[in-house]
Amino acid sequence: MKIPQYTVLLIVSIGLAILSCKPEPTKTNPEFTYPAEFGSIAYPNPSNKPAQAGIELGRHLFYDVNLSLNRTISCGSCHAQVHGFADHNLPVSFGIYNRKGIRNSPSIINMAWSPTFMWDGRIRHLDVMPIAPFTDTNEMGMTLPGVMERIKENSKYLNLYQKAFPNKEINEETTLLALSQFMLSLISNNSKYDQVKKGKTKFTNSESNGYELFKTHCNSCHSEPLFTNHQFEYNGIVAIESDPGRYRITQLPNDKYRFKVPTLRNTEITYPYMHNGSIRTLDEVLNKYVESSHIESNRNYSGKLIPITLSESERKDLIAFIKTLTDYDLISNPKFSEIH
Amino acid sequence: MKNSFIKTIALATIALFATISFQSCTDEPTEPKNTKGTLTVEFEHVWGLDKAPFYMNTPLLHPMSKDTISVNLLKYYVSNIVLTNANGSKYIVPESYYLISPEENSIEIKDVPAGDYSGMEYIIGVDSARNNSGIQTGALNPSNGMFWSWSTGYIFVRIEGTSPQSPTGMILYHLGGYTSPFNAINKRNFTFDQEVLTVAPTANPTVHFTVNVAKIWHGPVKVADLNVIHNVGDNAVSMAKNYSDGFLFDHIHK
Repeated sequence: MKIPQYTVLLIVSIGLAILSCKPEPTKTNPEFTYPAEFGSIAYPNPSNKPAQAGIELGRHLFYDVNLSLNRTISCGSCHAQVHGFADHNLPVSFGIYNRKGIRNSPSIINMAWSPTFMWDGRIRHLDVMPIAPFTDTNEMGMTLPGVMERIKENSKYLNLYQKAFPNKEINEETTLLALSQFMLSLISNNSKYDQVKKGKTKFTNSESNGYELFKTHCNSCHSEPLFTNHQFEYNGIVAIESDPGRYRITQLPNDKYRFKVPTLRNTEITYPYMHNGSIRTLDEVLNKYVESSHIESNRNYSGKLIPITLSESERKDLIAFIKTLTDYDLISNPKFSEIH
Repeated sequence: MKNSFIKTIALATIALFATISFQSCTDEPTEPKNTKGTLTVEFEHVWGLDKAPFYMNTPLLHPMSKDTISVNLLKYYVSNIVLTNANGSKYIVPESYYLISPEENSIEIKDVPAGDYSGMEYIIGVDSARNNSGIQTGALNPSNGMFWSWSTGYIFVRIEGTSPQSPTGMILYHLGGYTSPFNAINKRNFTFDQEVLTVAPTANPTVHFTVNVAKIWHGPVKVADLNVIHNVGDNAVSMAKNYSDGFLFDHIHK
């Protein structure tokens, strides 16, 4: 095909016009990319792209106990790498002075694709999410200006901020953008399931049966490949108690007792389960789902609730499949580990 | 024939983009300095429809409910200011987000195109987009104590104090919410009546509004029944609406 020379000139000149106003490209780690198999990210501030220096600063902040009132609790205290960035198998989490929270700390992997945060979805932007645990009296018990003071008292941060945000101040903005960069980098996509999808390995027969059962019974809420549909559902298997879930945020009657569908990735290592950590094992979770009488009595809360009929061996297979979602690369990656 | 037409278009476009690319890195084209001016907007806080003076930390009798109320904290956002020119055109004040309180009750708006303006509109609160735009600086910095850390969004109006009619003696109303059905964003549109706001490089006019703080309790919410709001809901919507209704254009200082 012959391309008229004017067209070429035109394209070049448009290109020049577009390029000429771009600010200096920010230094980003060329290695960091979001995995394509998860689709486009939900993070609404894509210009804050994780880069090596920003991730590293975020990691220092994430693991800094000085950012809590009595210097005992960091983000990593309740979001531990070894548990897929959920809590250390506690039903609900404990903050400063052993103050007890009301909910189970969720795993915070693959947050780039999450449109909302917390069990009730009350936070709608990752960049402001950390303000909640910083300022909650049962968590870190600080004020945001107080957090900034604690950061400024530690000289190690001068260099870390300078590298991550050259010519910018140490302030709320750079702090929260760095925390976002670290959290965005916590991507879990190298479980056995992922390897099977990439053709690198194969499921066992049991896992394979479990996968089929999963697709029939679980996938409508715990949707592949992130294993959550990011919606709020009443699961019918936790007794209705004082925590009204999403209703507290929206005040809409239909949202009573609804909680965000958690991802099933790494679920093997994030026990106990449910928003209040009330179910200890995957076996018990499945038991609840097959107790049809229980489900029926709560059906009015969610049209999607259908009792599951599973034989003993089918339950074993389903659990075998769920265990293929454990990502050992994530929990052993030194880039994500605690700073001592 | 057709070819030469394309050629002309292409050359013209090249010239255009070349011009843009050479210009685009310099500052905004500098207009002659005499086409812009500064104006001040002042919010005078009053108590009741008869515009009695409003004092902080002072027990004041509410004219309608007869409750005694002493306010020790009052802050609110005024944002998205638009000036209406007498010729009908509008000037949108860029990035206009202001945190107002009785202690800091006047704002200065610079670089307003010179002209005669007949009205002004603004939001009491923060537009929905900026409620969910991540970490922000200036008036919208979450460190200002006007951000709901537990649920994304700004507190539009924050009023706290004491009242003997309150069951606990305290009153605390944090009013916000930017999504349906509990949207507490209120837009007000004011005309300057017979007055004209003349913006010019040599003038520094002030637009003076009165804000009737008592108006926040003109609705169904009584201090004795509800002394704390810190979430979205019907009551927050109603109180925020009442509060915004308490804004009145008063006069212009030339």
